[in-house]
This record gives sequence, C-alpha cells and structure tokens, in this order.
Amino acid sequence: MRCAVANPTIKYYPVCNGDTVLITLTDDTTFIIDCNIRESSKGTTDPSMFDVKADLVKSLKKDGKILFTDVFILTHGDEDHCLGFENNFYLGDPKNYSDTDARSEKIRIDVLWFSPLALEKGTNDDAKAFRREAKRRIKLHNDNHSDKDIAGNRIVIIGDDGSEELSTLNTVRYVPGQVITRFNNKTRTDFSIFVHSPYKKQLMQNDAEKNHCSIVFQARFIHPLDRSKFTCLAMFGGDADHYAFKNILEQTKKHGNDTKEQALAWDLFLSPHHCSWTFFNDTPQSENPKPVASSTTILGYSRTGARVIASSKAIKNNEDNPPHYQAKQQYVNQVGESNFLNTEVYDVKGKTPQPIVFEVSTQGPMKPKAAEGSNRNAGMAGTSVINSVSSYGSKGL
Amino acid sequence: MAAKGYSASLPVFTEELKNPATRGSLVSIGKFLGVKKFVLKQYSEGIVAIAVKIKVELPPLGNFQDIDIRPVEPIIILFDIKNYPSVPPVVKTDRLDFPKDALAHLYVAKGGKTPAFCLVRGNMADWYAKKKPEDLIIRIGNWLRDAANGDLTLNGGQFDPMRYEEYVGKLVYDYDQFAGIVQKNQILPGEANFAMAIFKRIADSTFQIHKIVNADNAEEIVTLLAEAFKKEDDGVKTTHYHIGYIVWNTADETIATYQIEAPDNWQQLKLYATKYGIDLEPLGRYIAMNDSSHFKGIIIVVGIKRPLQVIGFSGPIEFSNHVIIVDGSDKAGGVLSDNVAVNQYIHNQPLTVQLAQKISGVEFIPAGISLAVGCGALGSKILSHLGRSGYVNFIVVDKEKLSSHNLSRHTLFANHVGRNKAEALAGEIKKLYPAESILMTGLSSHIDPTFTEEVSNGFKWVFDFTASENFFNTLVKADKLTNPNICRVSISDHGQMGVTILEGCKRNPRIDDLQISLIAAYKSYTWVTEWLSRESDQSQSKDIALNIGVGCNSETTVIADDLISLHASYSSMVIKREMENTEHTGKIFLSRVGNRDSLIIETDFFAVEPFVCFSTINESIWEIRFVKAVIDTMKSQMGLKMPNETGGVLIGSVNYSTNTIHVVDIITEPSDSTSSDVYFLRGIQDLPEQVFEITQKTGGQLGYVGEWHTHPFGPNKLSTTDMRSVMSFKKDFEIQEVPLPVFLTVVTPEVILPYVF
Repeated sequence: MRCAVANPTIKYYPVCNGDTVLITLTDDTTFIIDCNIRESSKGTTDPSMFDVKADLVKSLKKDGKILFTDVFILTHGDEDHCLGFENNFYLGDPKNYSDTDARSEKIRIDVLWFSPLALEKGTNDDAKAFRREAKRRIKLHNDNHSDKDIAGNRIVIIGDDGSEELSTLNTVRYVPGQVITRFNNKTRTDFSIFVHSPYKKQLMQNDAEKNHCSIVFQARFIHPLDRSKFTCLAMFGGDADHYAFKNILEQTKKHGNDTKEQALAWDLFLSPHHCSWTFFNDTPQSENPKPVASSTTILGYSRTGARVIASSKAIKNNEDNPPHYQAKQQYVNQVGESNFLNTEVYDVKGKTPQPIVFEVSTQGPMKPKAAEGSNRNAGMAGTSVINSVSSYGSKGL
Repeated sequence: MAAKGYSASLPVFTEELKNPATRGSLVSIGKFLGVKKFVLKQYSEGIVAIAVKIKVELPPLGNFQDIDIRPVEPIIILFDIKNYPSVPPVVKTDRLDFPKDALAHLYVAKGGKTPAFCLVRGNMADWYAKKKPEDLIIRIGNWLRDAANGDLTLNGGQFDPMRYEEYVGKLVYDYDQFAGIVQKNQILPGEANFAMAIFKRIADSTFQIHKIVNADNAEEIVTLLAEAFKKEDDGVKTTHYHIGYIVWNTADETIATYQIEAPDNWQQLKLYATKYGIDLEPLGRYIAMNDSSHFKGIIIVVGIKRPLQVIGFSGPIEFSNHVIIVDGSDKAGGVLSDNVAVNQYIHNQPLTVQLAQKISGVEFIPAGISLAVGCGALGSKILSHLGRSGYVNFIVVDKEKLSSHNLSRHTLFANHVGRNKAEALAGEIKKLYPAESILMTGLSSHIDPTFTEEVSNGFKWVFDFTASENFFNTLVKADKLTNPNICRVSISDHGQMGVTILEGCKRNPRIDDLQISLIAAYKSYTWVTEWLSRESDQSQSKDIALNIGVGCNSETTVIADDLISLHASYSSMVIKREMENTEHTGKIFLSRVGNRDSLIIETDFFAVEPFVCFSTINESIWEIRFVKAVIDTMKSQMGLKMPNETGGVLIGSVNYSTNTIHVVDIITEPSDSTSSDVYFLRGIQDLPEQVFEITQKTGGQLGYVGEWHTHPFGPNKLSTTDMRSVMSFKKDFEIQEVPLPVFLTVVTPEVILPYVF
C-alpha cells in the first residue's frame, strides 16, 4: 500500500518524443498529463525504454482492486500524447470493471479532462478510443444520468467551441483565465490549475489544428503556511505553438493575470512539442531563425532556479525537429545548461532512462533526496550472473 | 578565504588505527567522496575525527527563512576508536558559525564545540547497523538539504524541540500540568514569573513531581516539608522532598530559535533563559532569600513558548530542565551566586491513563465502573494487563492476604507478602499513574459485593476471577444483578485450558448456562470429552457438579506462572474487546495448551444463544432452563406424531445449590414406546445405552434429568395418569444417593408445562 507523501511530486517520464507526466499531491491525489506508453516498454524486453506502465502501477492508488488516477488530462489527441490509452486505461462503465481488468492493471480515470477538439475524429486508434470514452461520459452528463458523477464517469471540458453537444455542460467546463481548485470532487487549498488555452476563437476556426489548440495550463502548488505564495509553478502546453503562446501572453496580460495570479511565472516548463522550434517561430528554423518576442517574453517569466524539461529523444546538434537543437539553445540561454533537462539523457541507469522527478518543497521544486542503500543485498532472479553460464575449473579446456 | 573549521584546532592523530572496521569505513567514505586519504584528528580520548565536505542541494526559491546552509558544508565525522561500529559515528558541523540557533535536530553542545546533527529518529546505532558508511554521507546531505528547504523545521506544521545529550538525570512530571501553569500564568502569588513545585527523589538523579504549590495547599506543604526535613535532620528514613520552580516569560512572545550551548552555571542559565525572553533574576533572589530546601539540589524547569505545537507534546510550550546545586554560601547577601552549578536533566512524562491507552492501542474505553472479584494468580495478572492498558476504573476485591507461596505465580512481588491482595494490587496499579487520580481501589472484603441493589446497579461489569464455586453460585442466584455485564474467567484441565465466559443481554445466557453449554459441546468436539474425562478421573469426590475453575491459591495446585499468564493474556484481550461492545451476547472463549508432539496453543470460540427459561407450573423452588433446540424438537415431534401423543427423556444437569435444571438435549420416543391420542407409554429400547453414552462422554456432567411428553389435544396440565407416574418416579429417585427431583414437561400446542416434584 502506498503511503501519503511528505511533499508533492512531479514526474516527467522518459517516453522519447512524447509526453507522460504524473503529479502526485500529498494526499496521493494523482494527475496524469498525456500518455505515451509504448507496448515495447513493458517488462524487460527493451532495456532502452523505461517501463512507464509498471511505474504508474506502483505510483497510483487503488480503490479496492481498482487502480485509478484522479485526473487524466489530454492536452491534444496526437499519438505521442495518447499512445497506449486504450490498452492501459479502463474505458467504459466503471461499474463493469472486472477481475480481468484488475489483473490487466487497467487504470480507471476518475475525471477525464479534454478540450472539445478531442471529440473530433481521431487520427489514431488511441485518439479514437479517447473520443469514444469522452463521448460515453458526455452522453451520461447530457442525459443527466444518475451515474454521471461517479468515479470513472466524471468529465472536465477545457474550452468552448460553441458546439451544441457540449452546450449544456457549462458546470463541468472551464475556459482560459479561470483558476480550478476542485479536482475529483474535492476542493483543494494546496493546489490549483490556471487554464491558459485553448480559447474559443481557436477552437471555432474551421481548420482548428490540434497542436495549436492544445490545452495549456499552469499547475500551481500552494505554500502550506502562506497561501499567497506558490511553492512551484509548472507550465504544461502540449504541442502548442508560438501563435498560441502569443495569444496566451496577450490575454493574460490584458486581464492582469500575470500579476494578480502570477499566471505566467514558472519554475518548471515542459518545452512544448518536445523541444520543437515551433514554440519559438515557424519552421523550418533556418528560414525563421529568430525567436518571436512573445515566446522569449514567456520564458522571461521564469523564477529563480527554474528548469526546462524537454520530453524528447536525445537532442543532437542536427536539423531534427522535434527536438530542435536551436530550440534547446534558446532554453539554455534562459535557464542555463544545468537547468535544461532532457528526459532521455537526464538519468540513465544501465541503458534505461529514468524519469525526472521533482519534489515540491516549500522553497521550490527540488531533486528528490538521494536514496540510501542498505548493508544487505541478495541477487534476484534477474541478476545477470544467475542467468549466464559460468565456467569453473583449474585448467582450461 | 573560507573561515577555518573547528577541526583545524584538533591535533593530528598519529597512532595507527587498529580497528579494521574503522579503517574499512574510511576507505568506503573516501571512495564515495573521491578523497584518497583522510587526515585523522584526535577529537577526544578514544575518538578520532575526519573532516569532509558535503555537497548540498539548495532549493531554487532560496533557503527557508534565509538559513545559512551552503552548497558545500564542512562536517566532521567522529569514530569511537575501539567500539566502532557498535558505537556509531557522530556527525557534527565543522563550521563555528553554523546557524545552530535556527535549527532543530541538533544536539546540545558543550564547551565551545560544534553541535552534532540528529540524523535519525530513534536509535542511531540500530540505523547504522543496517547501513553502509556511504549511506551516512547520503543521510548527511539529505539532512542539510532538508535544513535548507525547511522540511527539518516545519515537520508537518509542528515545532521540533531541542535535542539533549549528556543529561544528568530525569525529571518526571506531566507535561500538560506544567504547560497549563505556563499558559494560564499561574505564578506563585506575589512573585514575577515563576511557580513552585515539590518533587520527590524516587531514585538517584530522578525526581518525580509531588505537588504544585498554590494558595490552597501552601500551608499543608510547608508542614509536609517541615516534618520531612526534621526527620532528615533526625536521621529518620523518609521521603526526600526537593523544591522546584517552573519559570517562564509571562508575555505572549514566542521564540523559534534554539540555544544549544548547555549552561554550566547560574550565570549561563540566566543568559540562556534571557534568549528565550525569560528573566531569572527574580527567581535567583527568591531562592537566595526564601527557599527552604533541605537538600542542595533545586529543580528549575524553564518553560519556553514556541510558535507551534511542540512535536511529541500537546501544546506549544517546550520545557528545558535543570537542577542547580546550591550551598548555603551561594546565597550570601540575598543574591544567588553566579557560580552555582547547573546540571541538565531530561523530562520524563509519567505514565498517564491516556498515554497507556495510546501505547496499548486502546482507542476508547466506555465509561462505567467495574467490579473484579478475585485477585489471585489469574485475577492479578488479568487486572495487571488491564491496568497497564488504562483500564483503571475498577474496584477489586479479595479477602486473602498474599502468602510467600503465592509469589511463584502472582503478579505481585515479595514486598507485598502479608498484605491484602486486592489492596496491594490496586496500589501497584495506582503507582503506574503517579500524576493522576484514578479509581482503582482494592477492598479486603468478606462481604458479598453482589448483595445490595445499589452495588448491583452501580457496576458496568462484574468480573469473577475467583475460581470459587461458592461465588459462582452467588452470581447465578444474584437476581439483583440486572445491570452489569458478567464475565467469569477460570482455569481448568490442570491449567491446560483457560475459560472466559461472558453472559448475554439481560443475563441470558447466564454463566451457568454457558458452563453447561461448554460441556454440551462434547457432541461436536472430541477434546471436550477428553477434557471432561480427565476432570472426572481427577475428582476425588462424587459431586456430580464440575466446577470449571481451579483455585491457584493452594501450594498443592501445580500450574506454572507462565501457563497462568498465557490464559490471563488471552482473557484480558477478550475482555478489552468485549468492554468496547454496547450489545452483549453469550460467548465462550477458550485458550488451550496442548502437549502432543510439541507445545501447541489453540483458541476456541462459541457463541451461545439465550436459554428458554421457565418457572415450574406447580409450586416449587426450581427454575428450568432449556436450550432452545430442545423446545423446537419437542414441538416438531408433537407435529410428526399427531394425533398420537409422544415423548421421551430430557438430558441435562440438576444443580441443587442454585435450584436449576438445565436441559441441553432430548431423546425422542424409544422404539418400543406405544401411544394413542390419549396416552403415551415411553419404552426403554436403547434408552439406557444412549444415556450411558452421554454420561460417559461428559464425565458424568450430563445425564437423565426428566421426562417429556405431548398432549396434542390438551389438557394444558398433568393428567391423572401423569401424576401416577410422578409418584412412581419419586419413590424410585428418593432412594438414590443424590436424589433427583421428578421433572416432567408436558408439551401442548399452546404451551410448555414444566413440573418438578
């Protein structure tokens, strides 16, 4: 059984070019932001991949036999943000969660967060599965079904696209500029979320594009003794591009939320689109080599000791995008080399990249304490020597 | 250039380090830190030190309260040359300017040395025994990280108290009582900022609170001290009373800093207290001019007001405890000498009922007073368990005095020989809670405590630990005992079985019902037959009634102390659980020790339904108590044999002391019986064999007790034929050695009609 943690944590999983983030609050309330769970990462078949699912199973709470997360936020429906959704999460009526589902360690999502764009036709199997699940839940809410508010059926809609299907669901809808303090039917004083995007005008464009319309939000960890202070401000933006961030900057300043709510400040910045140049300007970078002012202004809201996390494959000095080497350089210019952290190379044990974890102390996000060892050990069944033939003898053959 | 650390002042250790464990650990630490070789320093006699630098991760938003923790912290690690690693290393800061005033988890330092880090909660030696030397370095880094980000200080929103080491002795007092004095500013009348308390010296360097002095008891305490001090002067052995003072800042100001330089003399103690906003000058003057202590040791408890609740305590007051050693010459001129020696003491919380409950995992004890009768070996052990768990609302009764031979298995020790067992036991339990006034009262009583209605209605529980058949019968017959729940604990089977029985609601099933139910369990459990057979063989008398319960007061009873303790422990656990219940049903709990191939301990539990009870239809002194299944069988047989009458015999036990007939089983009509709708002739085919088997399997505890037959169409009374049988039976029974009453039950569709002649 998991014990409540002393401090909240944020864990950025190494999922190559993709996002999977787990936030755990002190009472073990959990938020999963996007998922890129590759089947090949499960078990020990490929040591170059971290087993995200196994770690989630260890990290999440159980409701009886049911593994669950309080909140799942899909920033947008690209495959690298929802891969493995169908295989690893429980979809359907939560009352039908079976022993088989329990054995498969399917994760129930108590509250599903999505933007109206997630209801558009999916371009991949997991996006389609997400869409089906979202629509199933929406129907319960539209029908005012008595089960609509049980864990596994709850929804939060981020943004308004003016559609009829969602028109009656304003009680579960939040729009940019709003601060959310209630999560999975619990009002919190230690944590909130400031919604930055998507705006209605983005969603209502005929050719609304997924990346541009990503959910962008600021996760805000509140000081336990002084609620006017934030112990950590973590920015998430899916694959939002520099146009989306320009809009965010303008709207936030226009409404004074940059000062009133510190809505643009950040300690941790998940570089959008896996450290892509799209955050800084149009691509290709060679044709648009100068970062737009709005994006550099956004980066300028970093607080002391702030870190940028690039959830991407290793960043090399080449023309790849994402991740883009020049984009990395822009981030490094802002926070320094030591505070730019790439999930793929940050901490590699053997061949396996490990998650980047921050523990949110009252003085800001910190690396977790170094783990102590023990004076005892014993080789486990997987120990390589045990699985290898060993030859002995005083003479060679 | 960085300031030199404390280690720079230490001489180099030039001897060869012979302890291989220390050498090995130094290599491991060096490898971990990338240091090829350490310069060993002589810290003190038998202690060597190494100076190392630890990298610290500092929080991004600045250190908590700007505490001066740096990215690289110099520390010194001390090793006991001979006794490492059983004596674990001590870690101290090497910085003379380390921000010690702002940090918890530092030990009080002495003599200009730097303070040691308190790295683990609990025993450092036990922690280190499970770790590698590198883990110590990791722990130090994490400790400094926590110090920088406030985790060390905030500690879940509570205040971390100072760490003591090298204290001379203990002061035993109730935190809440002292904190209450400070918080309510209950100063000694006419004085500035202190209260007076009287302590008893209960062992070397151990002082226990006796009383707080107030206006109401001042005169009484003056007399108490005068008499005690006079006895001291006269060389008469008496309690050693010491005067003590609790001193605090009467303003509301709170202090969050720490003073980790332990004061050695009065002048330093005054300075120490000043840093907590406390002025000791008025107390010094009072001691110099008015203190009437007989002994040199005067207790000073400094109450420090903290901004948050102190960890481990219920309030925000932290107490710093000291004993000053004052000679007459130290009071010259009405001023307490600055040179008066000061010793540091540690506070010990006396055991309180609340604490005992907490330690014992007892969440709630329902209100109400309980009576326990019998403080012999078994009773004393059960009451001791209960008392130590905070169950102290008891009146305990025993008429016996403790004899020397009792010591082999009584919970009391030799110092109580000759004292009444109940009084001595209650006294010892009271002593567990010196700071509290608890009921636990022992009575040396020959009086039956169940006789009066006041008593019967006053108790929540009555416990019978007597092993006395007489008291058992008293409880059975005590009609006025309507309110209390009744529990009896006894030992049987030569000590191999503990029996805890609990009556049901409204005393049904009663303790005798429960006892007979246990015997009737022979039908389901062969061990019951084996047990009853052993009891039967042991019985020297021909008494039919078996008393489940053997007294342990006799030298001839061979049962070891540990065996009694085993049963007492189980019973105590049962009692604690049952006392929490608000609704009660009949229950039997057994603890059984088997000695087959190896020692086996087993427990059993039986739930017992209420009995169906009748007074006899004819005028008699007898009460009939049926197991409900017997009634059901009689009724179903009546239906089956309709329109004819039917009948058979009843199995149970007759108790002449309580005038009770228990019916626990039934034999239906023998095959050679004949009947019509107006008569029933009970046959004998296989009947003697059946009754014999029952008697044999129960060690003679159960057998034939009476007859039953049906009147399917009435009348609801005995017929003349029935009466003729009664007369015939009576003649037969009266010539038996132990006569049986003639017991007939008539079953009609409307009623059950028991008759006893």
